Amino acid sequence: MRERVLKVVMVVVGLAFVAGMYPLIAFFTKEPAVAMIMSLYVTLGVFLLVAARDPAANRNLIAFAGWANVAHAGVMAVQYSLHAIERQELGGVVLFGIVGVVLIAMTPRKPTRELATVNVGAKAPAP
Amino acid sequence: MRERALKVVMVLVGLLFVAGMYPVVDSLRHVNAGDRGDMGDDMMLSLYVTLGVFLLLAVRNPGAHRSLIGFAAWSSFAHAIVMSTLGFEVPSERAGFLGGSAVLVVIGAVLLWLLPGKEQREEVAVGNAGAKAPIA
Repeated sequence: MRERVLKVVMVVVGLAFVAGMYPLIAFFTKEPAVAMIMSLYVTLGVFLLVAARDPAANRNLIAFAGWANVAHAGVMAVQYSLHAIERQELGGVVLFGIVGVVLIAMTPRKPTRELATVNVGAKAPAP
Repeated sequence: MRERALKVVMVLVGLLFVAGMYPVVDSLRHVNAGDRGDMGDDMMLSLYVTLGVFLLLAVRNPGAHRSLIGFAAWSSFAHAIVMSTLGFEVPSERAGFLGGSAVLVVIGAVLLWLLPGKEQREEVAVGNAGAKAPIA
């Protein structure tokens, strides 16, 4: 169930990031930094969509996507507190923050390989 | 040998990206109210700093982090395409954009070239299960 929810989240977030192609083109010369940021998000979106087939094998990518969004939201929050960005951009802080926290919270735990290594040769516990 | 070369590249690229923290902090410390300045660049660098940290963490076992390394490579290409196109659209920034694009293309190409194959990843996963580190 948890994996299915994560897959849905990855597809939704992946599609949203791929949709960043629109601001990439729309703000191309007006806001070069936006175009460059969006080039990273569009690529991340494609990778999240591909990784949705097997989230457990791509846990590091999912964790990266989560922390990158939290970092982005953090920088924007500081910029807002310094009055360097406008109030209307607060929506971006909230959005990136939520996406980041959800992805981090849903990142699959480390593969059971290490547990299997630990358990090799171990006897089953007595009932 | 190939894995060692990849690890060296990952450390170098990771450190380079993490060093992006400096311009972000510097920019935020000297920001003036209402001056948007390099705000977009700071946001972009926050992604690179995070990617740098993840690359450094992935160095211990690159074979298990193919998708992250692949993302680092392909996002470098995507960023380079945008930057080099901007270089032709914004003549005043041409040198900076094209120089940055060249660096990103080199990073992307080297990472993709050294990226472990899928089979190799499985071998690594199987080989590491319960195996001790080889004696140097």
